[in-house]
Amino acid sequence: MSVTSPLGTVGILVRYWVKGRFTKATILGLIIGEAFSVIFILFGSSTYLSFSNRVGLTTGLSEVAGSLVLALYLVGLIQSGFNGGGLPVSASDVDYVFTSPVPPREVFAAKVLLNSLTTVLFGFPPIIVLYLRFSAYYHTPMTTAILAGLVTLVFLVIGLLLAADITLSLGRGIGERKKLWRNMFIVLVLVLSLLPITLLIPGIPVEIAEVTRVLPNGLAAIVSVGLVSGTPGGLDYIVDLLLLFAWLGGFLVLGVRMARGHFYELLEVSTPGGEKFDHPNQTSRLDPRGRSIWSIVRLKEKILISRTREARALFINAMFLSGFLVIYALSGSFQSSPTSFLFILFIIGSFGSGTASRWIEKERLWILKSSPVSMRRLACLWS
Amino acid sequence: MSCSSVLQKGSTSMVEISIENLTKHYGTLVALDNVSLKITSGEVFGLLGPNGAGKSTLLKTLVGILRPTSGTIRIGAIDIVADPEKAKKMIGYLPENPSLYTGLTTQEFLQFVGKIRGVSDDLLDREISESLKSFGLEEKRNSLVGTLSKGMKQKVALIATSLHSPQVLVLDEPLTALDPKTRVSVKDWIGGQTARGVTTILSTHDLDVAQTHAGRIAIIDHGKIVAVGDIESLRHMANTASDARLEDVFLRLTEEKGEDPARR
Repeated sequence: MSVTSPLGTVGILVRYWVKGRFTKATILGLIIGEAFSVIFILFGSSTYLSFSNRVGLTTGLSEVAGSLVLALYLVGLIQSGFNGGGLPVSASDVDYVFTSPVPPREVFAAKVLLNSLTTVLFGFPPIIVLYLRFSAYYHTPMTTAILAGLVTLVFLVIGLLLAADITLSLGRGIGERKKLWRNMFIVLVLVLSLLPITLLIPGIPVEIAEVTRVLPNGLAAIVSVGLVSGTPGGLDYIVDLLLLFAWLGGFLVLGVRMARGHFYELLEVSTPGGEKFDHPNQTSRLDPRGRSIWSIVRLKEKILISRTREARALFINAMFLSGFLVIYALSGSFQSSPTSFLFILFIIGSFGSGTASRWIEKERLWILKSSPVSMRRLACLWS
Repeated sequence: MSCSSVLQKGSTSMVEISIENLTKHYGTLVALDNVSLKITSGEVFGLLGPNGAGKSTLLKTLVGILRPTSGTIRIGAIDIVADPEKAKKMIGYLPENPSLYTGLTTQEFLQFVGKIRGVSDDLLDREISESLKSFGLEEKRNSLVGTLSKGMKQKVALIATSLHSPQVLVLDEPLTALDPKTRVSVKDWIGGQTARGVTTILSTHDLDVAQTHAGRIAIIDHGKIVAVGDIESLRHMANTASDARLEDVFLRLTEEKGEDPARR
């Protein structure tokens, strides 16, 4: 038996996980996905900039918008962390990695590294496109776009580490009260993240918005937008960057410390077609007596949506968007422009497409396909 | 081709397994209730029980995927909770439905499993080649695991289980849903491991296999061990005829505990 160093083991895990994940078909799918996200970014950023140009808004608004978008990412990851998805694992990992002599800390390091690499690899192109668009608008060098992209990627990795830490913390007594903790934490992040947009409401003190300046999303937005817009920052940017890296280091150290012991039972294992129900022993409310096939299918959908975590996670996004829209409605400056309305509509539309992609029927479609029900009528029903 | 030849690699150092007062809770559900077992070195130990009785939980706790709520498991002298890495080096585990990495080729998958179990590169290449040849999978060496048939996947999983020459084997339903030809291969493989003196825990619904391979059998129901012994002593415990089949013994012992497991 050879003795492999911890770094060597982490390298082996990441190398084979990457090999196993990226087949030709998945790479092709990802390239298509990337192309769509680049189109999305170009459309969104161009709409935003033309609106910004028309109403003469400052880069401060861009910082606010950037901070909000990044906060939405954080909220999603916090939710995932509390559901045990902070360190995504497959059934193969359970069967072959968790039963191997690789220490949990090395498994943690390899998982975080893989997630970070994947995020950096697939997040970088759209992010760079976004900042290049901004850089062209503000007439700043392309290097600032690359630097801004790197800062945003650091933020994305901070988010992944935060989610991983939250999942690991479930094993330290938080598990029993995890719903309360999760909800409180998400509400706190939501409220804090929405603070900068209060700047749009006349008469609100600027200091309120400044609260988010020390949070990772606020820091990343300020530095990234500042760089691409050519706003002179100097020492302020260095301090902000140091704070951002302090968040990164803090979450990393916390995770490594918590990953010393056995944490495998905390993780949510993704299984093909598997549902993520909160309560394993729920009883069925699906009573088919005296109902038509259509009402049964509809009822089944309603019950599943109410029970699955994935579906309810979308509710968090809807809450965030609602808060945004309420403040938007209270502000004066946006309302005169039809472009801003299109932009908001586009964001809402993207939530809709997200919902469709998370359609919970998935592998169970065969039940309906093999039934005597016409797929055309089913499609009408779902729509 | 028989696959036992590759497994006659010489005997292995023998290790006994000691489980004491093992309890495992999932929230309010008691999956294992004060289970104690001793499996002697080189023994093939059968584990029988209805669906949901706690067999898989017991095996997952034994291989370190789950952590006991209380109680101890020792592999040789090593406590799996206190020193899981050392204990896991000695164990080869075949899950009930092995989830192989379908995006890797057969060769890559086996290399991955061997490497994270600390097998040196030279030895690993030799082991993989010999095992693939023995199981008739040489031509599938560069095929993606996801493209293999169920029987082939089970053979690959068996190879992965024994690449690091474990002293203890934990096999969870190794024969489920396999065609007769593959079942013969798997039975040969189990026989080969037994001949090497590997301590084996065999969880199965196939009572013939348990009767053929296992020296002693434990019957588990509702998370508790209801009977342990060889077939003769189990017959005695169940008050059945001296020539009663294991199936009758099993049904008698599990029925006495109460309700039909299918209705739970």
